[in-house]
Order: sequence, then C-alpha cells, then structure tokens
Amino acid sequence: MLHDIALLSPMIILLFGALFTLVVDPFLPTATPRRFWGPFGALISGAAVLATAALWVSGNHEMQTPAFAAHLSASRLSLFFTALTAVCALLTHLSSPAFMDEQDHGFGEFYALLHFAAFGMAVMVAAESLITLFIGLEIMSLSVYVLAAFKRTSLASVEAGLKYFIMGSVASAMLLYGMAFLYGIAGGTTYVEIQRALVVPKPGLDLWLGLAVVLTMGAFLFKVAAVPFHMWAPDAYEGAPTPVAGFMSAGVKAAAFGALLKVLYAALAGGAIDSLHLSMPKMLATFAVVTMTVGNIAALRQTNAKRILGFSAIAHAGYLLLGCVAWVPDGGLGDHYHVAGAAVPFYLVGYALASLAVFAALSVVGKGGQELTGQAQLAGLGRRYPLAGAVLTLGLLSLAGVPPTLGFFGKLELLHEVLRAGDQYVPHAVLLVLNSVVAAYYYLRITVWVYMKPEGKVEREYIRDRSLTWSMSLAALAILCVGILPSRLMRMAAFAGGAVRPQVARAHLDHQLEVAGLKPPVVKAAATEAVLPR
Amino acid sequence: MTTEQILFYILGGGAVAASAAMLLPPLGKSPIHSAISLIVSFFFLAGLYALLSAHLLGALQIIVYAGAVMVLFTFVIMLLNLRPDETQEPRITAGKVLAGVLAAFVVGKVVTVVGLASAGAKAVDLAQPGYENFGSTKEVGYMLYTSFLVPFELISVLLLVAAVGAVILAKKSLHYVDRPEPPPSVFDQEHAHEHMHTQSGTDHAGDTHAPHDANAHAASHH
Amino acid sequence: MDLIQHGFLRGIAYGLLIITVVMTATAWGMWLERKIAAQMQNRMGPMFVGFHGLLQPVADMLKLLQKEDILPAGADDWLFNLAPILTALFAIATAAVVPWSAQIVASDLDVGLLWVLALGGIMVVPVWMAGWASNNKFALIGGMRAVAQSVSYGVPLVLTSMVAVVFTGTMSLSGIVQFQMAHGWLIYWPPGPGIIAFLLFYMALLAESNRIPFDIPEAESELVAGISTEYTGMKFGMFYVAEYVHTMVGSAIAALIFLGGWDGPFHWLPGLHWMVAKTVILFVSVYWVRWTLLRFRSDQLMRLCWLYLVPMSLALLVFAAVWVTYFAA
Repeated sequence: MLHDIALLSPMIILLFGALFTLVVDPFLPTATPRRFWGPFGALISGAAVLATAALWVSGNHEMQTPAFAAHLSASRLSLFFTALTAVCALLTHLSSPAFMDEQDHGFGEFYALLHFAAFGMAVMVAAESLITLFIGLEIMSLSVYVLAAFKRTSLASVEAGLKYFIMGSVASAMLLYGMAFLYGIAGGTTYVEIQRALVVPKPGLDLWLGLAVVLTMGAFLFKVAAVPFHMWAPDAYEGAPTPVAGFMSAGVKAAAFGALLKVLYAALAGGAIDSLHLSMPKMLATFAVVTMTVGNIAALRQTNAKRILGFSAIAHAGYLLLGCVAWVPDGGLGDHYHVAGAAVPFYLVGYALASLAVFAALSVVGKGGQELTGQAQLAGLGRRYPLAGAVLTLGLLSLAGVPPTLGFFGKLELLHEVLRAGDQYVPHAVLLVLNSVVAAYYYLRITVWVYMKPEGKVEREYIRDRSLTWSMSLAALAILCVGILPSRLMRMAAFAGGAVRPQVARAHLDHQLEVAGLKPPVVKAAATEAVLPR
Repeated sequence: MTTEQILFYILGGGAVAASAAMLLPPLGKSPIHSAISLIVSFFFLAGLYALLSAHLLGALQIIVYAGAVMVLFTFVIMLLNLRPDETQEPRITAGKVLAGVLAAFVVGKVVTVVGLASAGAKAVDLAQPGYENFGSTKEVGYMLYTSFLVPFELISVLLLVAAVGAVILAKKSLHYVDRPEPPPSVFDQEHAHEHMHTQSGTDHAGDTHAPHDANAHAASHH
Repeated sequence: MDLIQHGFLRGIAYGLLIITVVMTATAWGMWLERKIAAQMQNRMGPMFVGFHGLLQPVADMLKLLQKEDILPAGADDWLFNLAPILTALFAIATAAVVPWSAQIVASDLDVGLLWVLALGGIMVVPVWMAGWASNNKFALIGGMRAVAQSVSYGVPLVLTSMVAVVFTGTMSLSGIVQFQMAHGWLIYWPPGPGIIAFLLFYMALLAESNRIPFDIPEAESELVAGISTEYTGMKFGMFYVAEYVHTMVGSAIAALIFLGGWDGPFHWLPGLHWMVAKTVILFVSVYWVRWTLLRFRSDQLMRLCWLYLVPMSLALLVFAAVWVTYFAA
C-alpha cells in the first residue's frame, strides 16, 4: 500500500498544488495580485520533478510495477514523461504570471488549472489501463481547453478554446469508441490484459481489432495535431494566451506521445499490429510524412509568429509520429526489437524545451493586454530586449535542428532510428530531411523579423519580469547545456524507451510456452483481481 | 426468437431510431426536438442495460443522463431560443458532399466490420459460477472500491476540473474588485473585424440592430 | 414465444389495476384536500354533488372533458401535446414498484428505490417541455423555476434516501421494509439520524412535488398558473393528476423507507392497512403544510437547499456509513 502511494507521489504533489491554490485563493484579500502563485506553482512542479527523480533512482523499474490493481505504473517510461511534463508545467508557471497580469486575467484559478493539466498528463503517461488513460486525458484536455480560452475578453482566445474543445470532444468520442472495442476483444481494460489477449491469435477478431486500433489511433492523431486532425492547431495556438500556447505545444504533445508509445507497445504490440499484417505502421508512417509536409508548407506563408509555431507544432508531430512508427518491430513478433527506442523521448525533451523557450520569449510583447506577434510588430525586439531576442533565436534554432542545440541531436537520433527500422522507411527518412530544410526557412524568418526588420515609429514596451526571465534563461540553458552534453539524457531516454520492451518479451514468452503446451493460458492477470475479500 | 431477443430488437431499434431522429428532419431541424430525441434514446439504452441484467446502470442512466444532464441541456437550448431564421437552411457545398461521401464510406466500413465480425460472437453465460451477482449494486460497489478505485477517484478530479473551468468561462466578471472593463486591444479589433467579415452573409440576425441603434442615436442628436 | 411464462400478461393486468387504483385514489385525494382546506379556513368545502360533495371529482372530470382544447399561437405543438401525457405517465410509472404489503406489489425490482427516484427526477423534463412549448412567458418562467428547484432538491432527496439504503443494505423497497421489521423502523433506530433524514426527505419531497412552501413554479400570485397557464381541458387535468400522484407516491415511499412500510405495532391488522394509513397521514400532512405556510422566494429556496439540506444530508450519509461499519454489527 505504502509502496503504491510512493509511486503516486508526483501526482499527489501536483494535485496538492492545484487544490491548495483553489482553496486558499478565495480567502486572500481581493486587492492582492495573484502573481505569486506562479513561483509557488514552479516550486510544486519542481517538487514533482524531484519526487520522480527519487523514484527513478530508488528502484529497479526495468520490469513494470503496476500499482492500484494495475491501473498505474511507475515504469521508466512513465517516470521519464512525468518528469518532462512537470518540467513543462514548471517553466509555464514561471512565464505566465507577468503575462497574465498584463492581460488582466491573472487569477488564482489559472495556476490551479495549470496544476490540474500537469496532473492529468502525469496520470496519462502513468496509466496502465484504458480507463485511467482516458480519465487522465480528459483531465488534461479540459484544463487546457479552459486555459486556452482563459482570456475571455479576447475573441481570439475564446475561439481558440472553443475550437479546441469541439474538435477534442470528437476525438474523445473516437477514443472511447475504440476503447470499447478493445475491451470487448480483450475482456479487460489494463494494458497487460489486452496484450495477453492479443498475443494469442484470434482469427475472428481481426476486423474488430482493426476498427478498434484505427479509432484509437485517430484520437491520438488529434491530440498530437497530426493530419488529418490538425486543423484546430494553428487557430488554437494563435488565440491562446502565449504561455498557454507554449504549454499546449510542449506538455500536451509530450503527454500524448508518452501515452501513445505505451498504448502502441505495451498494449497493442505483438497482437494488433502484427495481425493487421503491418498495415498499421504503414498507415501511420504515411500520415506522419503527410503531417510534416502539410505543417511545413502551410507555415511558409504565415505572417504571425504564433501561427507559424502552430504549424511548426504540426510538423513536429509528424517527425515524432514517424519516430513512433519506426519503433515498430518489423517482420512480426519474435524478430529483433531495436535496442533503441530512445529517439522519441529524447526528441520530445528537445522539442518541449525549445517550444517553451520560444513561447516564453514571445510573451514579452504582451504588454498592456495585447499580443502583438505579427511580422511588423516583432521588429526591434532583438535590439530593445536582447535576452528575449537571444532566447527566441536559440529556441528557433533548436526547433530547426541546428547544432549545437538539443534539437539537432534529437533530429539526428530520430533519423538514425528511422533508418535503422528498415529499408522501407528510407523514403520517409529522405522526406524528413527535406522537410527539416524547408522548416529552417520559416524559423529563420522570425529571427529576421526580430533582428533585421526596420522598427516602426512606435516605441514598443515589453514585459520585463523576474520570473519570466528565469523561465527564458532556464529553458535556454537547458537547450544549450544538454545540447552540448547530450549523452546522459540519451541514456535516460534509452532506459525510458526500453521500459516497455520487457513486457512485450514477457507476453511473447508466455505465448510461446502456451503454444508448446507447457503452461495453461492465463485468462486474467492476477494484479487486476480485487484486493479486498468479498 | 426468445423474449429477450424480441426485447433487444425493440429497444435497440428504438435507440437507433431515436438517435437518427436527432439528426434527420423533421425532428432534427429543431435543436430542442433533437435533444428530446436524445432523451428518448437514453431511455432505450436504459432498457438495454436492464436487459443485460445491469439494473443499477439502467436506473443511473435515467437518473443522471435523462434526468439531470439532459434537463440542463434542454434548459440551455430552450433559453437560447433559436428562431427558425437563425437555424439556417443547410446549403449543399462541395465540401459537404465530400464529407458526406467520406462519412458514408466510414459508416459503411464500420457496419460491414460489425456485421462480419459479430457472426462468431458468443454471449457470456450469466448462469456460470462467479456471475451470480452480476450487475447488482453490491457487485458494482465492490468493483468501484477495489479494482477501479484509482479511476473512480480520478473521476472526482475530472469533475472538479470541469466545474472550475465552467465557472471560469461562464462567470460574469472574474475581477475581485469592481474595475471598468479594459478597452479592447488592437489584436482583438483586428480579429473581431476578421471574424465579422468571414461571418457576414450568414450571421445577421443578432448583430444588425446594434449599428441601427447607433445611427438612430446619432440622428436624434443632429 | 414465451411471453406468458415471463409474466407479461400478469404485468399488464397489474398495470391496469395500478392505473385504476391510483387514479381513483387521486380523485378522492383531491376531494380530501378541498375538505381539509375548507375546515382549516372555517368553511364547508364541496357540499352539493353527492353526500358532502363526494361526487365532486367526477363532476370536475366531466367539466374538464368538455372544455375546448386550445393550442396557443406560436406554440410548439409536438412538445405541447406530449408534455402532459409524459407527466402523467412518469407519475403513474413510479407507482408500479411501490409494495403496498408483503404480497401486494406489481414489480419488486432490486433497485426499486432508485427506479422511483429516477422517474421522479425525470418528471421535470415534461414540465420544462410544457413551460417552453407554451410560448408564454409565465409558463417559461414557471418551467425555469421548476427545473432549478427540481434539480437542486433532487440532490438531498437522493442523499437522504441513500441514508436508508446504507442502513438497510439494499435498494429493494420490500427489502428495506423487511430490514425495518427485523431491526426497528429507521425513524427511531438508530436514534437521531433517522428522524432527521426523514424530515429532510419530507422537505425535499415537498419541493420535488412543487408543494407550498416550495410552489414557486406555479406561484399563482405572480405567474398566473406557471407551466399550466396555457393548458385547458384534459391536458390541464393530467398535470393536476400527475401532481397528486407524485405527492401520493412520494408519501408512500417516505412511509416505506423511514416508517416501516406495512409493519405495524400489532399484527392482527393486515399490512396493507398500516401502509395505507401511513401514506394517507403523510399525504394529509402535505396539505396541512400547504394551507398553513407561506411561499418561499426563489433565492431563499436555493439557499435552503444548497447551504443547509445538502450538507446535512451528506453528513447524515457519512454518519450512516460509520454507524453501519462500526456499531451495527
């Protein structure tokens, strides 16, 4: 019991932060500015990161350790992504207070919802059952919908929230529909049960399985903003308050990919993917390539930095999706599993930090309730506010994948993994490279606006705030330092990526034993049975 | 055919018909009639649950969805009080035709898959040991507090988030002290203009009287 | 076809019987109320039709049947016509699971209590439909008030009835009565919470059935007649009947889950008599309250519910759980 609760400690800390903020905030004097909740939230998120680190160090998590009747686990993968999302929350907490106060919407509930979103992400990536995954996803989504629409006086913000909400609800419905079929096939909702059920071939269930997988994957494609479910992203990113847009692009994407990896490889691998005769990886890879191309091409003609970053988020979803697919063992169960699997977690760290840095730097223009991130309005930022200009440039370079930033190594590792996955992915890898080149154009365009465009006559004011400076500097330092010394993070990412494999192997072994008649089939995982006597 | 099968076809057919009525004319044309069809559909679903010996679930379906959720749903729709001229006649565009074809394709696939795959489906025999209390209140309670304790608790967080979010978005003024509303920003104005531009043509029921009022006001001053 | 084996014909017969009995009882329930009200106001009440006006309900019904059926201009005819039928239907359907004695019960569901609460809660849908479809502002305001009130007071109603469920460990209405026969009525054992829960349930019941002091949805001094403003003839009659049936079934449920149902202090009298006596006493007390108290204001009503009734019922529920876990065994 105590062991189980220890596994939950990062989530408990985040939830405590949310509830504390919600409960205390109404009792504060009405005139008190609420910006101190930002640093407080950063402390809470930092504590969650520390708790995750302690869990990482303390135990042998090579094997999954499902807790609470197999609904949650603290595998290395979960821990890695929990820490990543908590870091995203930390940086967002630091970059929001000044911005939200300037926008006249710095209320306590904003910070509480940030905590809730981070909590939902932690639940999502720690989920070991479809139910927990769905609830975590909904906690995160609902919080982020509201955060996106938080600046209620702005039509753009409300539009962002509304679009995100409506499209997200459709995706949730798809996910539930797919999950219902998966439950029907497997007779259980935990990943272990699903995998055990799928490893044993069930000829009659192929079609059901295809339907279930397509629906589930469709929902994930929406959450990561991949084609054909990407339309909401640019509007949502443009309209949402800038720090929230950063959180959406970094945290939400990290959590969604973490959960996707688990669903793909802890639940479906070996069964679903193989029995569909590898059409699933092909389909996903095609979507990935289309996604990155659409995102990059569409970004070329935009004139608003936030909108460009919205399209860039779509493109990055494509890269990452390709990374996820390349991880699929080709040639069915029993062949080699790639040693790596580190690329997606590693890439996500680089992408998340760069996004947060860019959006934090962009939020300095939000003085006086405005969000002027257009082409002409950014001119002169580099000269008048050198730190913001530098951080923006560094973040954009990292997004473009220029050495010595973290983004470069992320892209390198991703490319490596895609090529290693097999010859059928060579065209995809080529397209990935071409896309990166195209993307460099619009990232550099923003830099040109910031440094080289002539300033207008208007004397622009920028938000200068200590916690915002901290946020920018921390993100930029991380991009640089880890970019220069990436091997440690790479090893951790490899641990994380490797965490789902033992289970695949175990399920495979069970199946082999069953086929050989050495072991009776396991109908139900022991961990899912009730823990209390009837 | 057993009674159970007859009842299943009645209830299932009713649920499908009520769901279809939500979208198709004549009922589907009015939002309120759609919502009422949804309530009817919930009733049929509750009947299906009862047929699956999940009486508790059936009763909860009525009490929570048909009784509470849908009441608030219809409440909102009725208070919006959309007049027929605001619920505009659907226009057929190329995009809609394409969407319709795609949707028909997907629905056709799903129906085919369901039809093909359910041929070999078997029902769980509730008479076998271990299923004596299936669907009973006690059994559901045990499951909720043992195997599904964590999701159960997480749902309370989810509801809290939804409540907080709804209050944030719906509250009249979030400010703790009375302050004049800030002037709309440049960005807002640009965007509002854009918004009206894209919507002009379709959206004239609610907005037109404001300029008229302004003109009348100006005229009276001259 | 095994319809007959499944007792379908028996069910239909019971259904017809219930409708007959309930409608008859309701008709003379109205007579009873008028007589009581008259006594309280020091007048005679209906006297001319039959002995002491006993045939007055029949005369009223004939009058309603003869009236013109009016559809207001701009009304939503579909919903306008459907609403009274559904209201009456839901009200009578709740009566189906009420056990009047150990033997006299049409359908003893294992979630009978929940069924009654579900149908009682859903009754607000047709009421709101009627309020909106009438295309009349008084009806609309009445409907809005009815929704707000019913949804709010549904919470303490469900919570307090759950107190009884926790004590007895079953949701079957006859199971609850059997428990009380063995362990004592819930209103006095365990001492304290039972009577509070009963009083809260009773208040919530008054509100659910739109009775004074909670009758703001049809406050005649402000809203003409609330949702039934535009209704004439038998449609109006159906609302009227549904309200009485709702009150009566509610009284029966309160008698069942807190007052021991068909159990009585001495057993030579059949259970049915006890049950009917308790129901009638509660039914009459509703009218006693109705003709004595004044009407609440809308906001007072909401405050009473959310600030007092809901927390108190939650506390009672917690107490019940603690009692059952640590003391009852």
